[in-house]
Parts: sequence; structure tokens; C-alpha cells
Amino acid sequence: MNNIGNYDVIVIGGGATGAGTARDCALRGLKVLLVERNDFATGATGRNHGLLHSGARYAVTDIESATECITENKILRSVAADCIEDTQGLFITLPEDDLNYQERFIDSCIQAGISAQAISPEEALRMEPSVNPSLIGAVKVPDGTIDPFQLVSANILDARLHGAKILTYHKVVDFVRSGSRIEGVVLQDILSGNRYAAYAPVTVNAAGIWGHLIARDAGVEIGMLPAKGSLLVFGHRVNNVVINRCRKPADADILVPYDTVCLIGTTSDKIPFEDIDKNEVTTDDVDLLLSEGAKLAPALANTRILRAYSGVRPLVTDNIDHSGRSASHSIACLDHATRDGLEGFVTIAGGKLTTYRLMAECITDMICRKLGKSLLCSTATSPLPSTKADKNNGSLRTKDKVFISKSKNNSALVCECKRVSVEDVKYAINNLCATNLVDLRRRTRLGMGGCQSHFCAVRAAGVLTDNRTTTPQESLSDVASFVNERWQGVRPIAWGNSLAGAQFTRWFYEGVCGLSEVAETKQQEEKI
Amino acid sequence: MRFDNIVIGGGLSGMLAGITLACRGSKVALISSGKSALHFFSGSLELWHEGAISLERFLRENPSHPYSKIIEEGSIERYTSVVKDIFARIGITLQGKGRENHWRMTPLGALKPAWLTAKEYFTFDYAGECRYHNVALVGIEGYLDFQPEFIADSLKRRDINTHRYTVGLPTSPQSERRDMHTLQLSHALRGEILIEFAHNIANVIEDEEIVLLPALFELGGDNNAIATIESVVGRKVMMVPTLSVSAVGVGIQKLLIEEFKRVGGVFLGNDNVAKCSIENESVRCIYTSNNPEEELVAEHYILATGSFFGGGLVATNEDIYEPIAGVDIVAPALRREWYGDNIIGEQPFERFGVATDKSLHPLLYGTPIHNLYAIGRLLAGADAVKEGCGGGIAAMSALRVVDDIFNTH
Repeated sequence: MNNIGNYDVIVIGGGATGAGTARDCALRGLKVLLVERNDFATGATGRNHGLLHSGARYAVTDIESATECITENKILRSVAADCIEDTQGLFITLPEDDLNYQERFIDSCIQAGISAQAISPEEALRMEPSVNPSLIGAVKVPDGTIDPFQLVSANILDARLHGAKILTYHKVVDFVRSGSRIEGVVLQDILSGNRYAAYAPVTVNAAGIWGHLIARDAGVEIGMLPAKGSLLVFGHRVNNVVINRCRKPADADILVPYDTVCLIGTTSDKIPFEDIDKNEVTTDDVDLLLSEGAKLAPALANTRILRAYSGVRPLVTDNIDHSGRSASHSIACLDHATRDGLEGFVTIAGGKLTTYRLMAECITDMICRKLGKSLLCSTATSPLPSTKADKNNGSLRTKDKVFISKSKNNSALVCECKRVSVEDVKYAINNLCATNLVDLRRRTRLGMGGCQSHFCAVRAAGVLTDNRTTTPQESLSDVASFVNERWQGVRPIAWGNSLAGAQFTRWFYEGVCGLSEVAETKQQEEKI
Repeated sequence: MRFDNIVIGGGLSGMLAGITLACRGSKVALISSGKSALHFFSGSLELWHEGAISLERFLRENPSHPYSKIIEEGSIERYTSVVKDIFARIGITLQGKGRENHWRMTPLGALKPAWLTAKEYFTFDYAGECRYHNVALVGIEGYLDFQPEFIADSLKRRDINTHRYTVGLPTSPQSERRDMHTLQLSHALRGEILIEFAHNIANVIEDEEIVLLPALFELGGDNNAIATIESVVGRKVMMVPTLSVSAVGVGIQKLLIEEFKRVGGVFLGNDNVAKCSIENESVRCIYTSNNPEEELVAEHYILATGSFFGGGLVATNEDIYEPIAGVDIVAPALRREWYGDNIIGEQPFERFGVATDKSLHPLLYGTPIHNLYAIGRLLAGADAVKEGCGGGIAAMSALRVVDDIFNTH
């Protein structure tokens, strides 16, 4: 087995927490390897609301989480400004809700340091005209939205600029052990099948819900609760302000505007660990989200639904509860040496997208203590780099030796819905570890617009082929996977225009283009 | 207003029905919302892939397929020549025989069986042979809806010597744009710009026998772009479909509408049926959105409104219905039975459509509406994509219904 090097720290997991940890470690001068079995942001990081919590949602039930959220909310607004939209948020009380809860809610917010201001229903309607006009109370809070894909890309880019090595599509298949000490990991390259060993005095388990399984492989148990949450994406931006229900957190009570669309979520269902990779949205989930969503903004009942998706909350369970919603949202930062007698292995879990930076700071502090180094965290003040090819950051480019020509082929648009150019696609391939179309979607939002990828998939496949990233046949198989990945999200809501659009996708890719013929050629070859 | 026949839907099926009826002396109105699968024309119409399963055997095993109501002894040959005649009248030469397929090349380099193909498109013959062995494949700088590497890869695997070239567009307002769309490019490539473009090609190609270009050039009518390029490059020029809306298909749609008007048809464009009044198992009259007060009355009404994409079928989260006459639908009630896992594989929803009797009269609560017909994609029982029969059903059902109208009445 090849040795791919000795590091100070190995981070397992390419979600926001893992990427943030890799960056924090790299900024402090540690030699870092980050490994991810899939692509970045494929777990809960890329499968949530994209809400930059003010913390108000947790103020009544979990003051600790609420305080963490508002602190991080303020920090991210300054260091990750490119990834954030300051939408503000409303917590509304509907006639069927208890208006007395509002007073308790505001008190708790203020106690947590969250600016929460009661406004009249009329004022709420002026601030957000799509809100249910039958509301009887409203509170304004500093909620926002955050682009999780861009956030992770920016962390990865900065980690790499500070010397971190990043491996996507590399799965940890075993640990290198010496007695009761983890000294490294055995990796398998998913694409080639090759195995490698990497060594470090500390390995960080930052694998979200999959961290439960990683820990078990390492020989320790972490109580975790997989709680699936489903969401719907609507075809346009119905609201400009985040709308929440002012009551104890429940199903489908947050409506988040995002870019040109809006999202309603979430449901919460405890699922077995066998199902954490399934991400299925059921008919019942869809019906519940639609009926509850229309209570927040009645216009949703007549708005086209673009797709449905789901993610699994990685909740750490000290107190296991039935629904999975009131388990502590706060952060689990575990040293398995003191907890379980296993040296060289630590876990960071729980938390929220909003608190990813704080989680990274906590675990990096622990790593430094274990390494006996006194190194200060700077992520609360160092801005993240831009990940967009067209937002030219000279110093970043020079360091990364990116050459972007001004030729016409580079400025041509691959995805019109999301304004993604050939240049953006090439930048993501060459600098952000994108290897296929779904990776490209996470880097650039290609195919995530109103058409859910009519033509952009095959244009981007052309760029991948031209760039010699994939062969023509690999690219076409990739197109088939991509249009099916889009279909999985459309299928639960495929009626009305969404079904017409899906039928068009099928006619075009299969009828006009004969995609399955050219895509299957490759699968057959693989079988041989 | 009174007509002999009213056709609802202006795609291939509706246009062929309208033109044939008008040619045979009928007073016809055609109502079109503007949606048409012709806008994504591949260059070819498909009838049946005999190589996979013979049509006779398939219809014995699938009696509910629309073809089993449409095709009888000799009708394929007869209707094939009618379709060719109509296209010839708009200046488009379709090549192909009734039952014998040739092969069209798709924009991704797949070969698919074809029934009739416009002669300017690149095809392989019945035996899967290509008459050219040395090909210049030309892409356009900045135009992403033609990806020559997929076609080149396919040609090379078929032992056809292929050279790829990328040419720039002559300087024009279009050439400065970031998003080069097929229809805008098609519009820009005319007159002096077209000739300059052809010279750009002539300057880069070598000794290839043939030049393959993206299908950006309208055919028929007084269009002669291909001949113009051929005269400049001094060799055969053929087209491969683009990964986008089809400039050729959009052009054909316009020419079919012109032809319909020329033969005396009344074309009601950008309109749709707002209300359909049914009494005593027959349609009494219809009203359109643009003239909600005006009764449109006819001896026969032909529904050619397509499937979900065309608007001929509407799905809600609870059911599927036909929105004009509310006729019976063949589709399972439960939503979860509408879909398959693979969007380019089997999809039950593709076979949904209106139920009809043998003469293609739609059923309402099980009883045929005797002065109403359904044609084209609206018919239940076919997966036109997987079976490769969309064009065939559109054309054959239209011509079958026209025959029925004249034979019966």
C-alpha cells in the first residue's frame, strides 16, 4: 500500500464542518489532509434550508444554541459576506397559535442576545407582502440565508491555499492503529479502487451522521440520531424575508427565500442508520410541506414546485427524544482519549450550518492541545476567498496559477438560469476539485434553476470532455446520471408544469439525443 | 362561425390533419397555442424500429397501442407518400421508405432508426453504412449547443475519418454575445454573413469529402443556406441536429402554417379552447380564449393537443385529465404509479392519454363522442420515445382520421 504522506491532522468529512476544520488547521499552520468519500457538501451541509439562523428559533427551547447562532451569525456576515444574503426574518403568530408564546419568545431572544422586535401585523405585511394576512402577531429578527455550497468551496479553496491537501472521492476504509492509538487512515480511491495509507497524530471525525459509523470503525460508540428532514423548492422567490412560525419548532414552519427561488421545510422523521443515504421524499412529506407552507405564505398553494429533497440531521443524543427535534442542537466536541481511552481520534458533531465555524474552532483548539501547540484561531476575522471565476481576486489567482483566457469560448454561458459560464465551469474543475456534473452543480449551481437542466448538463459535459477531465463516453454517462439526479428531486412533485418539464427532458435527451444508447455503452464496458 | 372541421392543436399531427382536410375541399379552422414538438425536430420522423420487433408481432401483443387502430393493409405506404407530398409542397425533401428504416445521427452521436429524414441531414443507410469516409466536423466558437466531440467520437468508433474544426462567427452583433442561441445564430447566418462564414469554413478544412455543420439553417421555402455554403466550400454539406430548440423545426412549423393558410385554412394562432360544449354525445360548439363570445361550430372536431408537454393532458397532485372535453383518460389513479426511476428509461406517464374507440373517437364515461377525434401524442397506449414512433403516430393518426371523415360522410 502506498503511503501518501505524514500530516499533523487528518480530517474525515467534506461538509461545512470538515472544510471549516481543514481551513482553521491550515490557517494555524498545521499540515492537513482532508478526505471525503463523495463530493463536498453532499450530506446535511447541502441538504438543509440554507438558513443563516439568528438563533431565534432555538431561543425558547435551547438558549445555548441560540447564543451560539447569533454570535456566529454576526461573524459570518463579516467573514463570509459573499455567501450570505441579509434577508431578515419574521416569526409570525397565526390565529391557531398561542399569542402568549410571543412574549416568552421575545424575552428568550433578548436573553440570548438576539435583537427581536415585535411589530404589528400591518407592518409585517408591509415588510413581507407574501405573509399570511391573517397573522395576529409578528417579531422581526436578524435571520439571513447562506449558500452552503459556496461556503464549503471557499473554505476548501482557502485551506488549499494554506497548504492543505484535499482528496474527494476517497473513502476511509480502515484505521492505522498502534495499541489503543489511531495513527492514520487507510483510504480507498473510489474512482480507481487504489488504496493508500496516510498518517497523522490526530484524526478528526467530522463526517456528520456518517460519523457514527466512522467512530464505530475506529472502535468507539457515539450516540447519534438520524432525523430526516424533507424540503420543497418553489419555482420563484415568493418571499424576500425568512418567514417562521412563532411557536415551538415543528414541521414545515420555515420559508426561506433563496436566490431566485424559495424553500419550505422541514419535516422531521427518525430513520434507521441503514437509510441515511437514501434521501427519499414521500408523497406524505410533500403534502404536509405544501399544506403547512401555505399557512406561512398562501401564494405557495399556487406556485410551481421545482423539486423536493431531504437531508439527515446529525444530532448527538445525550437525551434521546421521540421526534428528534428537541435533542440538543449544541456542539459535541469529543476527545476519545479521555472519553473512551482511544488516543489520536477526536469527533466534532452536532451543531448547525450557522455554527460550522465555531465547531471548527472548538475542534481545532482540541487538536492543538493534543499536539501540544499553542496556535491561535483567526477564522473569526479572516475573510473567506471568493470562489467565483468572474470575481477576479488577483492574489488568489496568482498563487493558484490559474490562467483564464478571454476567448469567446470561455465566456459563453453553460447554464442560463444560473448564469454559469464556461470559465466558471473550468475554474471549478481546475481549482475546486469538481470531477463530474453533479460536483459542478454544487460548485456553480448549474442545473438548479427553473428548467432543472434542459440543456446545461450536456453543455457542461462538453466542457468536461474538452478539458480532458472525462472521455466523451464517460461524459455522456455522466449526463445520464445528472438528469436522473435532477429527476429524483422532481419525481415527488411531478405534476403540472413539473411533469411537462420532465416529459420534455425525456423527449429531448432520450428521443432526440438517444442518451441511454450512448450512456449504456460505457456501463456495458464496465461490466466487461 | 361555422366550419366543416375544427382542428385543435398546431403540432405536426394537427397541421397535417388541417392541411389535408383543406386540400380536400373542407372548410377548416385550426386553433394553436403555439406549442409544438416540431420545435425540437431531430431532422427525422420515426415510424417503428423493425429491427427490434416487427410491427405486426408487436401489435398482436399490444392491441391497445394506437397503431393497432391506425394501421391497416397498405396504409403505411399510402400515408408515407402523403407526408412526403405535403413536405415537398413546403420545399422540404424527406427521404425514406415506408417500412425500411435508415439511421439518423443524434447530437450525442447515437444512431437511431428513422422513417423519413430531411435530405440535408447526415444519415446512415438501411444497413448502417455511411457513404462518406472522410468527414470535416465543424463547430462554432462560443456556441455550446453543438458539441462536436460526441459526434466525432461516434464517427471514429465507426471507422469514419473525422477532423474537428472550430470556426469563428463573422463579426456581427451576434458574435459579441455571451449566450449564442440557436435561433439567433440561425437568424444571423444569412446574406453576407453567411458567405463570410462559409469562407471561414473553406479556409480551415482540408481534403474531406463532406462538411458536417450544426443544423442552424432553415430548410424549405426560399431558404438556400446549405446550397450557398456548398458553393463556397466546393463539396457536400450536411447537418447534424443541435442540442437545443431546432432552427429547422421552427422553420418547418412556420412553413406548415403558411401552407395551411394557402390552401384555405383559417389559422387561429396564440389561442386555445376555453370551453367545449358537449350535448347528446357530441360536441355542439367550442369557444376560444381570444373570442370567448364567439361560438365555433363544426361537423367534426379533432383534438391534437399533445401530451403533458403540449397541454393536451394536465396532471395535478390528485389526478390527470383532458382539459378541453374532459374525456376519459387511461392512467392509474395513484400518483406513485405514474413514474419510473430512470427519466430516460421506462416512464408510465408517457403511455397515459385519452381512451378512444377503433375510429379514434374519444370516450366520455365510456361512450364515444361521434363527432370528436383524438390524434397524435394525446392517444393513450404508446411510449413514443422508447418505441420510436412519435412522428409515425402523429402523421398516421391524422391522415387516418381525415380518411375517416371523408369516407364516413
